Amino acid sequence: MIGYLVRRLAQLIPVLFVVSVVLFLLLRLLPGDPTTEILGQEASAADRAALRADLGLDTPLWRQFLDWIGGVLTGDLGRSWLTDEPVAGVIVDRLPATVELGLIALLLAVLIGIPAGVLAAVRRRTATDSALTGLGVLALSTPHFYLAALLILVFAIWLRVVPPSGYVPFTEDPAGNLVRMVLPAITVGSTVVAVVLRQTRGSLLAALGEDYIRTAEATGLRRRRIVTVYALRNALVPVVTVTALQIGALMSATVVTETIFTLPGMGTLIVNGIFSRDLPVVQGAVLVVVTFVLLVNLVTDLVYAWLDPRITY
Amino acid sequence: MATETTTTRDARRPVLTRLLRDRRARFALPVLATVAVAAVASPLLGDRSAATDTDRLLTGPSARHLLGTDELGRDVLARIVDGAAVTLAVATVAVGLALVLGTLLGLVAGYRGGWIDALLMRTVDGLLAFPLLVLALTVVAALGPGLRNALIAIAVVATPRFARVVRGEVLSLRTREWVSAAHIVGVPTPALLRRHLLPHLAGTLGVFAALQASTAIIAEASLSFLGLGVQPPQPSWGAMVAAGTDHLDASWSLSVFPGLAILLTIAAFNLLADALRDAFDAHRPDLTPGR
Amino acid sequence: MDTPSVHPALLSRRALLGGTVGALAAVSLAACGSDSGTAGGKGRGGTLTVGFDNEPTTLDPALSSAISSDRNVLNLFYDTLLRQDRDGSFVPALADRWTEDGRTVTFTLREGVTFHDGTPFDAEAAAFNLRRVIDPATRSTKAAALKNVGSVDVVDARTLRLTLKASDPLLLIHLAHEPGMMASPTAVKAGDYGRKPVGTGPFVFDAWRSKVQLTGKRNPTYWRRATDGSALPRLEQVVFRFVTDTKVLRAEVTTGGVQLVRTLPPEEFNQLAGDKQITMTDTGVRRSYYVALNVTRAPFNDPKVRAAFAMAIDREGVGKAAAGGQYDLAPSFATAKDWFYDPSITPPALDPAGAKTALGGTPVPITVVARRRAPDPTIAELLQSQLTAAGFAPKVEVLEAQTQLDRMRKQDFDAALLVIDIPRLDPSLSFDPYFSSRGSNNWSGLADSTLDRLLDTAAASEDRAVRKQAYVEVQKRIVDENYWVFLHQPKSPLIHSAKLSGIVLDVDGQWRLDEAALAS
Repeated sequence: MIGYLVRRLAQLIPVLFVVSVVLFLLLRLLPGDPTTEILGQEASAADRAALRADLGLDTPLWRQFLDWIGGVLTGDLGRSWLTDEPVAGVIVDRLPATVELGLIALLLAVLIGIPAGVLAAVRRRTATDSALTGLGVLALSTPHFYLAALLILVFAIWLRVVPPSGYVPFTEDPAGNLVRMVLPAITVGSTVVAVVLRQTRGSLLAALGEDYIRTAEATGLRRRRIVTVYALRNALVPVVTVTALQIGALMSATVVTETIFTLPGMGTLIVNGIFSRDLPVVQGAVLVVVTFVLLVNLVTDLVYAWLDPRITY
Repeated sequence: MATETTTTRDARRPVLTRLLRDRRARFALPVLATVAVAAVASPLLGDRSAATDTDRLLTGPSARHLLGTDELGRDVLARIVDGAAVTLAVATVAVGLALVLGTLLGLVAGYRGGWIDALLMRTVDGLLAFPLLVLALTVVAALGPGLRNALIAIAVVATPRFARVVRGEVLSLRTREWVSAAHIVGVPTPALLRRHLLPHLAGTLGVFAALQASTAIIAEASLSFLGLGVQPPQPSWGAMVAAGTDHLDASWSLSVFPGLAILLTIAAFNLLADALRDAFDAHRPDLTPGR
Repeated sequence: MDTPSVHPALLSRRALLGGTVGALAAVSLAACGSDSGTAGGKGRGGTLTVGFDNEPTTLDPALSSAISSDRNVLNLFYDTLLRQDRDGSFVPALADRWTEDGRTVTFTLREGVTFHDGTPFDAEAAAFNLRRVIDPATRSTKAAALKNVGSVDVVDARTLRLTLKASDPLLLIHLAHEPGMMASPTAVKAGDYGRKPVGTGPFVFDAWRSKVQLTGKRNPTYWRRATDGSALPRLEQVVFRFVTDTKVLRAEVTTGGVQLVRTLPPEEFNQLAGDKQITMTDTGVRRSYYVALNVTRAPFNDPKVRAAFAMAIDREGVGKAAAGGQYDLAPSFATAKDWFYDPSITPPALDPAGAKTALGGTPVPITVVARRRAPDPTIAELLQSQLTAAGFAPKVEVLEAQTQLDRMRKQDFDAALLVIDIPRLDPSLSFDPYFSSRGSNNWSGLADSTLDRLLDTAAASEDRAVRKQAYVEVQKRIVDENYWVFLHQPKSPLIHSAKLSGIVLDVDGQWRLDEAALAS
């Protein structure tokens, strides 16, 4: 197990290298002069040229890459071109909103998705099952930006039960924070809930068909106990995997969702960074997100091994 | 694995027959056929979808404009029909490109193994760790907005997904006796891959392509929502929904109808994937829809 | 084009009380009549929450890159040596008085003022700030504003003298705004200044969380007094919340989440009409949409093709579609209230058929670059449709800001759709960058000696009659040559809660909130 862990961690190094090269080069392909945003659109050509030199944009690409990657390796993500803040600080500032959004979405997935999936499975081919599965497909098929716009319209503008925008850190005002996170979390969570529901239903149905369940049934154990204790336990293994595979997708969902709800998270940081050509911020933020996703994948595999004793490494 | 379709009973029945008996497929296929017909027939509309009329902005459904008009007084129905072409292109061209490239890479990586596999798979892992939309967004921003570049971006995002799935299949298939046997009797590798491995991948690839089509359509819609999708005057459902949400108070219909089109099409792809999965009996966690 | 929802400005223009301390004419903007200047105790305290769409990248006035919108925030924290009232007159601020003597301007500074960090405000501090803007090493975005200042000298602790290289009619205007804002030298030297501003202004910087909000707390020792002698500022706290989505901003105004909003587009503010909780005042601020034609290459190097372009555009149609009917049509950056406005300047009449004939049958391919920011893409699509009908074959490219500007600087476009906020502090600041052959934003690639001469005459003169004549000629020339086609001017009313009063505006419509008060 330890050997496997070390091997997997070692594999992360080339992956992260690939990621940083792709990321760096892709961002350098972006057209447009980053100095426009910093100096304003009426700055003179000379001022812009001087600033480009300041930012090191007149050195060769490989040099810029080495400077950046060297900084990253020594724990320095550089400074924002736009605001001159340290990138690491900006990221630390923006992480809580995104992490909270993701955690609530996952919580919804566990609290709603799993029970709903179990219900659909045990009530297979009933109206309940059809309704739940149908809702699942609907949730999977609604683009996040559409759902978000509808939620804002109904709950913030028509019913006025939640504020239409704004963010307060959980640590400062827990209630105010949660009220404002409800709609974004539902938006992001819709997909995860649906995925977990479908996977739970499918896996549970599969597990209920296995021999040992039939044996259990034959011995006269109560069905409720069979479902919850024996079948569900095994059925949850793929659910965990699928949920973890959703972490990357979750990040994608937060990009759009944070943009619409103007939440100060990693999603808005990256999107605004791309649009304002604040490349050091984008590089740092994406690298953090990608590293996080890779680590989650790793942990998933370990959890998978722990949950399913048949798997050995 | 026993699921809704009992394997023993249906195993020898052709996939297509099973598919056509599936309720989900019977919903999905007509929807997708309608989209395809609309896309192909849209040139017949001429410039109806581009004709602006500033005296009829954001009107509701009427006899003259069955689904109302948009923020420039254009006919929403004509634009939905025209926009089907974009959706179809995303689902076929972008996903098709990713399918071909991804399969190729996955076959090579899975079959050859060694350093090629390691190199390809580390790259694939890296690309997959990018949030889908961030990667697509950056690619489009770098290449410039427009349908062609949006298709490229979506293909770039989807290719590693195909590669990973195909490689996984190949790894499990190549240990089978018939593959080793074919290898021993001297079947050349390309032929072996094409004639022996690829057919076994068809089921998995079919399911996965349908899922990726739904993901791709959502990605295009999201790009269009962020303003990076197709360029005017070509309508895209995503851009129409985006415009509709901007004018929700003035016109309910502008976001509802394109929204419905997008929702039905994505749902159709998702349901088709479900139906295909049961028809092929290819149940695997990585073939679960998601974004 | 006024509708009942937008009241004409009630500007109580008071004559300048030359040299008298604290005689800033309060501009009552509360059309509902809840004037603030009366009872000092009434409406004192409270937190004003502002909805702001354009978050500054820095609060260092010397590095501020927004053309004017940052000043809404900067005015909280900073003072200038003198202030410019809405009517254009100058009144004392950190300087009690000043004298102009050909090539020198001498300021006598107010006594007893300290920065928020306790650093005393004196001639050394003032000189530090002005020298910092001028110093090329600062890379100040405002350096050009002080280009005619030769030296900044401290005569004594209360006296500052500027020696000019050339007389500059705009110098006082600049000194009354960002280039003349006074920051604490101690704080500037401490570093990371753009995120931690320290001035002498009515509010003390408290906190700034990017993309969320910025807070300023009442400066209890603010030097300025209201006309009735009561202490300023009246508000206890000001919070700027950064909200970019206009629909959400409108919802915040409606639900009382914010009491003041920087700007809302017409389709949003039209929906606020009739809401008694909300006051909307047309202060004359407009956004001016324009299309710049690239005259350095075919087809728009041909005046006939430019004329055809102008004839193709239905400006009323654009206004209806993109500004919900809340717009003016004007021949240039001038608004009807501006002193350099001349209604007799008219662009070619709408005539798509005539344009088509002039173009001679074969569709003329052109590339139109627009910015990806509502409602610009919508306008571009409408232009595309109108141009097609008039015999052009337009290709529209919707781009991000930097990409669009890059293309325009490289003259890699045929027509460019953009917008500026007007009025600016002085017409030279609107016209010179765009129409001078040396202008930083000479998108069209103009090299028109007639225009250059007129612009120079207008900028160098202090005589308003001379200037007006020159600017009218400038506008005539631009419109006659169809270098640019000016589209509509959407209104941008001042929108705030009816409880809020006492907002004072700069010449270009940016806020000063030291006299603002909230009724409970």
